[in-house]
Amino acid sequence: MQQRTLPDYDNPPAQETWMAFRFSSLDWRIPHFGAFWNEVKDDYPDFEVHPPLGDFALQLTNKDLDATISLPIRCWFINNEQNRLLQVQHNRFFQNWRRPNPAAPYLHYEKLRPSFEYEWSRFCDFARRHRIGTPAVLLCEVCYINHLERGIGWKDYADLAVIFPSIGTLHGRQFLKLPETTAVSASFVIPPNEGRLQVAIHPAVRQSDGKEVIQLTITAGCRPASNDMPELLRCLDDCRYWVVTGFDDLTSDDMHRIWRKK
Amino acid sequence: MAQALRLPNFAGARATRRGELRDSDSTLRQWSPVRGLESPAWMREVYDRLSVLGALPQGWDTYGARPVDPTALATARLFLSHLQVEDLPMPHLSPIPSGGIGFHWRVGERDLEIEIGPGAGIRCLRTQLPQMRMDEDEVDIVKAQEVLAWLLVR
Repeated sequence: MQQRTLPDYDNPPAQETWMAFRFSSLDWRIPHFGAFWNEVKDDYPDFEVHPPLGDFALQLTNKDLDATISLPIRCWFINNEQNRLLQVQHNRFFQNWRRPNPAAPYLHYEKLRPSFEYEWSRFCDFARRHRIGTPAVLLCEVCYINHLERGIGWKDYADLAVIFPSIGTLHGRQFLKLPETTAVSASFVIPPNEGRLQVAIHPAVRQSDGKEVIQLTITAGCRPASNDMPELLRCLDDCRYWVVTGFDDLTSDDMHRIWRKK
Repeated sequence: MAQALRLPNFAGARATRRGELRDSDSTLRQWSPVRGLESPAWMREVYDRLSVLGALPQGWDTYGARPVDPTALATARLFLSHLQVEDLPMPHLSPIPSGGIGFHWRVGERDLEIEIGPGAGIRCLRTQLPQMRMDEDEVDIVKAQEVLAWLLVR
C-alpha cells in the first residue's frame, strides 16, 4: 500500500465507508445472486434485495413460448455483526463498513482495503468459474460518510461556515435573512482529469438514534489505466488520499480540535 | 419481440420517496439510514422545539412539573425520524408534567394526541369530532404510522 502522510484523527466523525468498482456489464442473472450468496453466506448470512444503481433496462418479451424477462436488481449481503455489507449488481461491486453505534471504534482504511480486495477476488473467481465474464473495471470509488452531530462544534444549520470555512452564510443582501437549512453539493477535478471528488453536505436525522447531524459525504472516483489488481489498488489509494485530504481541507481547525487531529 | 423499457436513474425515484435525502444516487449506496430535515418543511422546526422542551427546568409549569425526561426526548427524536409525515401539518408539541412529550395534530374533524412518556412508552388518543368518539391505545412506531394515516382518511 502506498505510504503517504495523511491527516489523521483520534475521533473522526466517520460513520460509514465504502469502496466500489464499476465494471462493464457481466451476463449476471438472478440465479447468480443465489449462487454467489451460497459462497459468501458464512460471512454474510443476511440479504436484502434493492433496485440497481444507475440507469437500467427492463427487458420484456411478448412471445408466449419463449417469454423471458431480465429484471435488474442489486443484492445486499450482510454480516452477522451488521457492520459489513457487500452490494452486488451486474456492473457494480461494493463493500460498505459502518459503525454499529457512534461510540464504536473507527475502522481504518489500512484494515478495510485488504477486506475489499479479498471480496473482489472472490467475486471475480465466481464470475470466472460460472463463465459470465471478466469484470473490466471502469471506475474505482472510495466514499466516507461523516456524521457531524448537532451540539458538537456547531448549533445552527445556518452556521455551516463554522464547520466549513469556505462556505458563506447565504444571508441575503437586503431582503433574505439566514436560511433555515443549507445543503451543498460540489465536485472537484482530480488531476490530470483522472476522476472527480464529490462533496455533499446535508442536514439530516440519523435514524439509528434520532440525532440531528450534518451528513458530509465525500466520494472520490478514479478511472484505472488497466484492469490489473495493483493498478486498481493504486486507484483506490488515490481516491482515499483525495477523500481524506479533501475532508481535512474543507473543515475548520475548530472541528479538527474536536476530532482530535494528530 | 423484445421490448426494452428504459427506466430513469433510480435517483429520480428516490427523490420522490418520503423524507429521504434528495441527492444523486450517492445516498443509495449508503447503508446508514438517515432522513432529510428539509421535508416536510416543518421538520427542522419540530426538532428545534424538541431541543427547547428538553431544556425546560423542574417546575416549568409553576406547579412542580418534571423536566422532560432524556429517554422521552430521545424516543421522540427517534419516533419522528422514522415516520412518514410529509402530508401532515406541523404538530403542536408540548411538555407533559410527568416528564413526557406530547404531539398533537388536528386535520379536519380528526384529532390525534400522541404522548411519549418518561419511560419511553407511546400512547395515542384518537378523537373523531364532533361526536367526540375517542379511542386510546398504546402504540409502537409501526402502529403510530397507521394512526397517523387515519388522520388523512376522508
